[in-house]
Amino acid sequence: MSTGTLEHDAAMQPTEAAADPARATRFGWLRGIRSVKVIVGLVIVLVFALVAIFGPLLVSTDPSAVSNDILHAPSAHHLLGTSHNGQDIFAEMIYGTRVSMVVGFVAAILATILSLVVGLTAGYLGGVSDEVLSLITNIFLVIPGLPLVVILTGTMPNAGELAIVIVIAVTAWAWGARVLRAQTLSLRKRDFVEAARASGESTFRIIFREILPNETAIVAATFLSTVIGAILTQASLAFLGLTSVTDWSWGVILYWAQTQNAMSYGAWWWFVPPGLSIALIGTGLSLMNFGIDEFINPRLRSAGIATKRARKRAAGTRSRTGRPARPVAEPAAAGDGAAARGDVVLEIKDLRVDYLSGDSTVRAVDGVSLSLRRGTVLGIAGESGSGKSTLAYAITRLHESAAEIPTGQILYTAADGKRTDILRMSDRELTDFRWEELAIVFQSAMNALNPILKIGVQIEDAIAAHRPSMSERQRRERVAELLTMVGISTDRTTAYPHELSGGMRQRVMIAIALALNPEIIVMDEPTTALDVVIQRQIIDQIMELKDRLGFSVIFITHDLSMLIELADEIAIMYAGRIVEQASAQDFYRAPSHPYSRGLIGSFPTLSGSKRELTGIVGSPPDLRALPTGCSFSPRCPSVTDECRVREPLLLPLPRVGEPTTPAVDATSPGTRVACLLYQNSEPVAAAEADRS
Amino acid sequence: MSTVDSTAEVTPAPATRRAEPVLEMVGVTKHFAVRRRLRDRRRRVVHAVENVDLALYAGQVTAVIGESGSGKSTVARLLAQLYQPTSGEIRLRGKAVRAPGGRRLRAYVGQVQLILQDPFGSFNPVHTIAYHLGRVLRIHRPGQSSAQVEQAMADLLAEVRLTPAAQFTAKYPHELSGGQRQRISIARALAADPAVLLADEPVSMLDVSIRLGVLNLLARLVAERNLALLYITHDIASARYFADTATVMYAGQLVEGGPAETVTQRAAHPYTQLLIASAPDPDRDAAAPRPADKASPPSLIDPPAGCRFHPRCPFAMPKCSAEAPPRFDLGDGHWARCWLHEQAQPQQAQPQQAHP
Ligand SMILES: Nc1ncnc2c1ncn2[C@@H]1O[C@H](COP(=O)(O)OP(=O)(O)OP(=O)(O)O)[C@@H](O)[C@H]1O
Ligand SMILES: Nc1ncnc2c1ncn2[C@@H]1O[C@H](COP(=O)(O)OP(=O)(O)OP(=O)(O)O)[C@@H](O)[C@H]1O
Ligand code: SF4
Ligand SMILES: [Mg+2]
Ligand SMILES: [Mg+2]
Repeated sequence: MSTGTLEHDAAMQPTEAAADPARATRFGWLRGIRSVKVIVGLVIVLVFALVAIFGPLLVSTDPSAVSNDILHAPSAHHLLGTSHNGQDIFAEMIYGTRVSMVVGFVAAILATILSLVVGLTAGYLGGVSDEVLSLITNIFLVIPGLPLVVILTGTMPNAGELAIVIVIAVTAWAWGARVLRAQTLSLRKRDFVEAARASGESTFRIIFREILPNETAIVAATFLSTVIGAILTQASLAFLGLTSVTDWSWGVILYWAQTQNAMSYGAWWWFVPPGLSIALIGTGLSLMNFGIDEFINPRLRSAGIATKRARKRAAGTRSRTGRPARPVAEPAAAGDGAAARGDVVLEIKDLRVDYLSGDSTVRAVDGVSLSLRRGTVLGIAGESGSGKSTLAYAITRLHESAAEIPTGQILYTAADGKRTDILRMSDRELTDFRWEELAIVFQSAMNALNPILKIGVQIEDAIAAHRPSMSERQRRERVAELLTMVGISTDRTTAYPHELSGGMRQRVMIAIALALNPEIIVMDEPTTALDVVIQRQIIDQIMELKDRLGFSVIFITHDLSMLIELADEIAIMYAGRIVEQASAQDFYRAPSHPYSRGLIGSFPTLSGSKRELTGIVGSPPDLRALPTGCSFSPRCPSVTDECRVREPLLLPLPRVGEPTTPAVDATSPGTRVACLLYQNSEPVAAAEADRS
Repeated sequence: MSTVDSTAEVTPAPATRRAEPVLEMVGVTKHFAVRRRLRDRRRRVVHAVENVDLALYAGQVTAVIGESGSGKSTVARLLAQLYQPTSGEIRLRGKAVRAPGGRRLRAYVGQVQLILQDPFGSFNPVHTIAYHLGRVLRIHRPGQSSAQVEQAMADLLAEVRLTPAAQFTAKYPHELSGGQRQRISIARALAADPAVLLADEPVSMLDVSIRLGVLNLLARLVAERNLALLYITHDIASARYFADTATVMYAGQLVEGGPAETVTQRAAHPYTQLLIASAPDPDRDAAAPRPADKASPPSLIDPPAGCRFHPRCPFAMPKCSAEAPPRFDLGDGHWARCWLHEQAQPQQAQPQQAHP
């Protein structure tokens, strides 16, 4: 990070990021281990695995050796006592662990391979192969597994371990295959698979390098549960005496305990250890299952860090009583009367957002203060990568798990005048707050819909979750109304997301955001895929709703011409900071910051003669190594020596000749600009720059 | 920095460039089947693209503008062979090609590269940027050493103004902003060094200054490498500055086409006029009346008969709802599919009249 101004440094709290050990992306997967559940599961499974591998080598007692110590309770000589034949149960358990584990894991490996082959082939190829394979899968699914196994093993009396393994694998693969087929089917239609095809990847690579890695979590989860299933099946079979009863396994021990009435002799040491082992290994594997996702998904790898801190911070204020219910029945009440209009509904104060990535932190939002008035539109534009989406995510607390917010406040004033800091809300409060009071349309809207649900269902779900009292018919009508509002003909309600064009998917997301009449809507480039006619229609709709219901909008876009028409206030971001904030008219008439002027000079016009587009020289700044002084200085046409050393603050624009009055109140009207041309020493230069 | 319209001077004269298109779609129709409801005996389809002729020429930028959902991305995917047409054919250098997969597709995509519309969906979340770019480089420039691949990657990223390259190659897609991903998409397509680039809204998430830079880069490639570029966009003004030819799409059909300046300044089709009147433009007189268009967009499952625009058209005549208008030639390569221009002769009929 570049040197901050004194004021900034003073406000900056020491971030814990620097001391965080687990931040390197490369070893990010190790973070999965930080979860206690996973550690416990891993330890349990490892212990059993070690026993299975080394146990029989270390135990000298032959588990089958008969002795005269009949039905002895556990003692130093027989750690787990003895059976009716005087066999050492501890030795039986050690040998049995090996058999149970081998059968469990080998059967699961075979079953997983089988389900991968079938699931991937059916899902990727589709058509006839899919129909045939799905039919077979479904047949195997409806056949009850255990009876089939019993019958199959029954046909081969005293079946060996290999036979058991094969029988278990054959009956266990179908469930995994079905899950993988469904997953593959939905991944196949993802754009990145299309992109891989369009770049010339072979089918083999697409399946194994593009699709399969996205299914690792599912494969691992199915594998672990198949291991549990196989161990249980093997134990059941052995317990029923369907395997060779002289090959020790946990089930065989139980079989002997049962046939020799261990229970009635009170010989608990005979049946408790195998029973407990089965339960333990099952628990261990299930616990591991919990952490699988974090091991594998790069997006979740750094999870936990920032959220944990947010939770810690929220802990102090957690026990607040429930939020007052918003008058849903007559939402017009929220905004009626000019008195309610114009007061500040959302105030962001000195917000910072850092991304912990690799061994450095990137400050994507740096000391942003903004305020949004009720019933108005705040437009945000700025350089690509300057932190606009990060800001939007922070407002909704939906930021990436790798992001953290070292300082700042986001104060929300509800319709009843109650103020809350969004950054301090508890999880439960947040759930209500999002969508009900604040809705967001993500920049990734095209990609944000669930690929396996019809769009109508998705909108309906959003409504049903928050308006449980609505009847199904009312919901349907609302869905139709919303779709019409965004210009999608209602005969497409049953379409899946991939069957819609990019712009249609964006419009579905807008419809979802509008569905619950929130107080604030944050829209992050919601119209990038919309033609101007529909864009205008939707914006007119939103404006009309806004005036009627009195909600407020934060609108992020690169389309300055649209922003000038649409917004009341405009803020321009550059390298994580606001560099200019002004009313839309003032901004259009006289953009003050050299970057803003560069933007206006870069956009082509539709009417009038073609003018020369000047653009802005240079490249976007590297957020990790921002230049000292003004971040824009290396690209600025009006740069002075001072710009390279002194960092400009966002201050109100003085009139010519008038000295600057530093008012740091974000709510005060008027143009504010962060540029030294307008600050202190050289008001003359400012005046000149204004005229140029 | 050079200006965008400077490319207009570099492109060859109309007479020579009309010679042979590099990539062409002839009478292409694409229908998507819709799941039938129970009780519904009809086979219903989405008429996504209907009888479209489109030609891309070397050293030229062809812009496609049009309604959201009108079939622009489908056209691009058809040209990239990701979809196979229901009828009609795709011709590469005059030869009809069908390359649904395998080696033929790999050879084809070496020549024709597609930039997908959604930069959030088009990267595999489990792979780094280096993997994505590296794969294309290895597939299409085989036999390169790792150092060469790395150098090529750095060059590509510098071209799309993502510097320092090392900061981006090690990242996962979710760690990049929308505009950064969009530029990586462009870099990925350029990595294959294609003859034809199909760019589906390649700069929609870039701020105007970077957008200008990227468009200038594309313009330079068009001029220097004689690239043929299909530029799908909603930014009509950029089509005006940047494209040689502009075509307008509505409800699966091309409704107007011609030199970009003519189409944007003297729009002939009522839909194009609506489009241009709706574009936000602070330079325009604020008092100018806005078009009042409240009608909803057409259903593509059950498209309107006759001219597909007639339910919304302010000039609709009885004939419009009965009969679909053919292409009417308006001179200088400008044409429109609208009955208002009937007095001009249909294009097909022209040669016969010219040589009686
Ligand atoms: N998860 C992440 N880890 C690390 N860095 C990130 C992450 N997400 C975003 N960044 C970086 O933070 C910066 C700001 O990103 P952000 O998405 O907020 O930009 P933006 O202003 O929305 O840009 P655009 O207009 O291109 O969408 C970018 O430089 C980006 O590379
Ligand atoms: N796989 C599919 N199955 C069914 N319908 C589809 C499929 N792909 C596209 N469509 C439909 O075809 C029509 C054209 O879609 P396309 O994506 O080509 O539009 P577009 O012009 O690119 O729109 P936008 O500007 O919104 O991206 C849309 O109505 C869409 O719903
Ligand atoms: S053909 Fe008729 S309905 Fe269609 S655009 Fe022309 S005038 Fe309008
Ligand atoms: Mg963004
Ligand atoms: Mg599209």
